[in-house]
Amino acid sequence: MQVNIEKIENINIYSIEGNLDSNTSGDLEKKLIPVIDANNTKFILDFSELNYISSAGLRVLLGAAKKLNQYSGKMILCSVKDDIKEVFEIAGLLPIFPIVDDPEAAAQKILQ
Amino acid sequence: MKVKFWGVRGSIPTPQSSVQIKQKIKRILRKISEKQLHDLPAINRYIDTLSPVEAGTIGGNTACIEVRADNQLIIFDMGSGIKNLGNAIMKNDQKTEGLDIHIFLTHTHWDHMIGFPFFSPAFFPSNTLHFYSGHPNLKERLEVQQDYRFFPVALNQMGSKKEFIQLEHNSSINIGNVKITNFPLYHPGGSFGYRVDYGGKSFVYATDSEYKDLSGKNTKNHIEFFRHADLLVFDAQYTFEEAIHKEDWGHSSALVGIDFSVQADVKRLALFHHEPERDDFEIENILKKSIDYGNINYPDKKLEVFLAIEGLEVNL
Ligand SMILES: [Zn+2]
Ligand SMILES: [Zn+2]
Repeated sequence: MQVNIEKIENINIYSIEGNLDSNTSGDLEKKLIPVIDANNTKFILDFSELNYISSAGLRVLLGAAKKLNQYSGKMILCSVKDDIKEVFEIAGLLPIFPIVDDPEAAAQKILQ
Repeated sequence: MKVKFWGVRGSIPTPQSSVQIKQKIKRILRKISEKQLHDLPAINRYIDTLSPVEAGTIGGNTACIEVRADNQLIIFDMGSGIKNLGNAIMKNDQKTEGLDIHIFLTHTHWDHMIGFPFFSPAFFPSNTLHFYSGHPNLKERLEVQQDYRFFPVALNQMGSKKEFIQLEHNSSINIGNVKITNFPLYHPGGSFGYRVDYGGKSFVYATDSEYKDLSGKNTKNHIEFFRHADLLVFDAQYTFEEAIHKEDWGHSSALVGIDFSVQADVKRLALFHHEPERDDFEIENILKKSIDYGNINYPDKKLEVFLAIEGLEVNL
């Protein structure tokens, strides 16, 4: 897994490439949680290059979402492949993570 | 090795309600009429093809599993399901010279020991019950459960001989040629998983366990414990989302079970410790979604996922 991080104004855009599973989710956690703790509250996760996500990956995203909630932050997912969207549905996480089509829509939603 | 489920429900015995039974009858009648079945033999044949979810039940008794291997009689947990197991033992196994019955406890929450006072073989002086647990003071815990204030028959009034063995954590013990290894699990008050190895086959019973940190370094010991199991019985009480919200309640989800099974090369995964608030159709729906999850994430793996159902027998 690779994470490419970009910051545009106060929005943190994470493009995640590869597999998000028990071997890699810890890396994402390290790249995400301290950034939230440093008062960053707006995140877009671009999943266009994400191959698959297992329960370990979902766990890390939920942990981040929970933390963001405390700071009234927002995390929007975009460019999510159908299979991965279905995994979110199966796990019961669609109500927790807003999913939009592309980064532009995500930016719009985050600035609402 | 033969594994039979006598109790599969979590937390509290959960009989079917009238509403649920009526719902099933209506559903079956609707299908019979759709299929235009009129004569009784055809209707009976059709009903016999229906699953326990459609025309029976997944089961409301709490945790109890029977294992037979190397002519040994081994029981895991004494939830309300052990009552019917006891009756079956009386009918099929009881002999005048007595029986040796080996009982392993994951922990002593009610749903895992509440059936014991109703376990008929425990009343026969010729029988010997060998209890094993990772927790200390098991005898005292059973005595408390049968204190006169809570139950009319005390533990020492149950005529069988009883032996209590406290297991060292992560140790193995042999019963005949059957090797049983325990493994501590994360649960309020602690719980223990058991791995049974016999004749090149293995069965792992891992219920009442929460997995909070799913990173590889934290789960690798669990994966090793599950490694190459022919059957893994796994705590799937919650959906993934519920498990996160009910943090520290001590239970897990099917999705985590599937991920572990794939990593550990488990052959068959049985979802167990079903949530008492869910009806059979809701539990079956969790199974369907879990299978979808497995197919999406691991299309090349041949893991069989199924529901632990009361009365189901699995030969390994
Ligand atoms: Zn339990
Ligand atoms: Zn428990």
